[in-house]
Amino acid sequence: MLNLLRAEILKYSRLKLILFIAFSPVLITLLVVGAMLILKVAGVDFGNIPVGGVGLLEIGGGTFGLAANIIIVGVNGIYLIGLVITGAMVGSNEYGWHTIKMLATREASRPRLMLSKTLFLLTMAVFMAGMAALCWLFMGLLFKAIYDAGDTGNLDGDAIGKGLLYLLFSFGVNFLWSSMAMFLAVRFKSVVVAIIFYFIVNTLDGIVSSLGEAALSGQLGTNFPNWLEPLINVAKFISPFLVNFSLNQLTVTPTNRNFVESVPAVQSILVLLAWIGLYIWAAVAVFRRRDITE
Amino acid sequence: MNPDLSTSSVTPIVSTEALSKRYRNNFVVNQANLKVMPGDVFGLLGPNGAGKTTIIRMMLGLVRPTSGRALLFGSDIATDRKRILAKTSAIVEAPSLYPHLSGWDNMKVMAYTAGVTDETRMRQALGQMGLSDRARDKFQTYSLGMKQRLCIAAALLTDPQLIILDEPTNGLDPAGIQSIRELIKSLAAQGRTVFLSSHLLNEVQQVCNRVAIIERGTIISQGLVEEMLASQNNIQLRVPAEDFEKAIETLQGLEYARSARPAGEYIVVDGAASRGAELNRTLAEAGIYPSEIIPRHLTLEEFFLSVTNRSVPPGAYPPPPGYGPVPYPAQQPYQGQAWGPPPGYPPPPPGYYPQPPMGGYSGQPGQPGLNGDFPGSPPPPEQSPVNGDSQKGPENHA
Repeated sequence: MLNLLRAEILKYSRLKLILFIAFSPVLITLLVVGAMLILKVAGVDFGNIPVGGVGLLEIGGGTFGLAANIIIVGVNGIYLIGLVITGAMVGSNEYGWHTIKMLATREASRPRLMLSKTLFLLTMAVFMAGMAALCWLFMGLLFKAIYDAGDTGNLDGDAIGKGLLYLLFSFGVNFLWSSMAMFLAVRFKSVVVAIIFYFIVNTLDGIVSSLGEAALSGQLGTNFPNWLEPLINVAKFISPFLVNFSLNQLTVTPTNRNFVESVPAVQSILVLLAWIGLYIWAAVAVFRRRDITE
Repeated sequence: MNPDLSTSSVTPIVSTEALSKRYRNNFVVNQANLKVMPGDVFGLLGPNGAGKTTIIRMMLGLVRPTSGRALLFGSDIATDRKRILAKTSAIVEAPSLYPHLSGWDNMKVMAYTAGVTDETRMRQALGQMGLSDRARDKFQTYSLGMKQRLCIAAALLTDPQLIILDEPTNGLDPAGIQSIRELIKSLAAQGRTVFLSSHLLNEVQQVCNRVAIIERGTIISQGLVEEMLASQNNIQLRVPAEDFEKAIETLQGLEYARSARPAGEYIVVDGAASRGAELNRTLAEAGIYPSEIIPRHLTLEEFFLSVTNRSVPPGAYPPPPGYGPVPYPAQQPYQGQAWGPPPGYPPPPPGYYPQPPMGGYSGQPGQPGLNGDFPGSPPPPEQSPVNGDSQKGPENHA
């Protein structure tokens, strides 16, 4: 399996797009820091650093909270779409390169081949998370100088702990969506179709999750048409098993009005792991049974 | 039928048993029975779309058969895939590797995929194929011949006992074809079994010792090239009319001739194309002096065309020496498609086309023969005249 993973890494490490995605945290950090340094040199006053939480997410405050808000939370959408594209490419590129026959006639079984691709995707997600973490810590330290924040002691420790946890959950979900993209790409042998399906599924998941969260946390009120009630009941039932709902449960502050106290964090973690497992299993199952005629 | 296939205790390297593949209602491969013995250079010969690649795909487990099974090294690919593929390398259809990687990186990827980590071996394989100088160049910049060679180099990394090549010379220039041909010969000389598919008859005849001919998904002939062609060779003799019957009687008892039969003014002695001198001596001893002795050795191309009932386009197929206007036996009417120009072409000069062979070669019992009466195939076309009437004797062709 390790050799198969090495082969995957070698294949994709020579693709510029994959390198761009993998190092996107560095590029974004350089852009942000560069811009702030220029402004600082130009004499712009950045004001006071926020000492408390910087939002409704559990990422802490201080310079590290602010840096996390920028480089982890703010641009997570870029990391996410980067990983989704990577997943779709990993799932379908062998067909585009016409190497699938060669690969499938090697000694390694098809499930092992697919698992090695999944492992590569996980490696990519971990690498990006690592890059994001390094950039975040660098940015946090730099902000101390820019904002002249000095020693913020316990605040920094709290922010780093919360930030790392947020990083774990957000990249876990990024990996989940990229696994889905990989499965869709294996199924449809197309990067474009996989990405379109990803947007559809993620949007539907988000809508139902929001509806369910609002209903379960009592934010929805009672002033809605009667015909909507069955739909809301369905959303209340299924939303705790959806991805966006689970991610929100794990990453928002308990004071967030959409936080649902009745759903424990363990359940949300299990839901996310179950989705990851399901998508990987589906990709293996599709690839294992397929006639390769390309 | 080849005796070595039916009676040998040696396990065939490849053996397919009633292998079939159906897409919707169309059988792409129908009841294919193939046998490839250790050390063979086996050619699967057939026109484009005949089902060659589908058979290879089923042999390699890329495609699941609708029915039947493919055994490699005595094991079913469906149940013992890992063990089989550890000893097999294949290049299916066009040579494809990762276009954005260099030749060297491609070798590394292939080596990792096969569990090989010895870089010396990779260098050796590249060197063997003459690609050391271009190892740093991207695969997409390679010529087709170089791509083919790199794929073969990658295939050799695992030291396979069986190498499967699907149309290995497709798109290559003559020099590339020659180098692949030499390579196949050298692989065979190393004791490896080579299974190649091709629609190029000359290529197959030059490198293969055993062939199977497939058309419309059905194996219509199979055996050792030498035996297949020998089964179709004959010699034609013209003797004075008063000695005709006596000559037939004399020739019928010869041990090296399968039969001697009249064909118009000629006598056809089947299976004796290389025994002209002996035939002449035998007849001379009987006081008969033939005025013509015409040996007929079929090429694989002629054999293929005859068993697949194909006509020969004008200009593309000059008759080989000694293969001109010859009699066709009235007692064995040829029931396949007559040989002649395609519709719309002017008739060629008399004697331009060779006549169909006398009788069909059938590799195995139950295998269809010349008549095209194999399962799933359309009925044989109506018999049509060739420059006249194919059933008439040589005097009609004059």
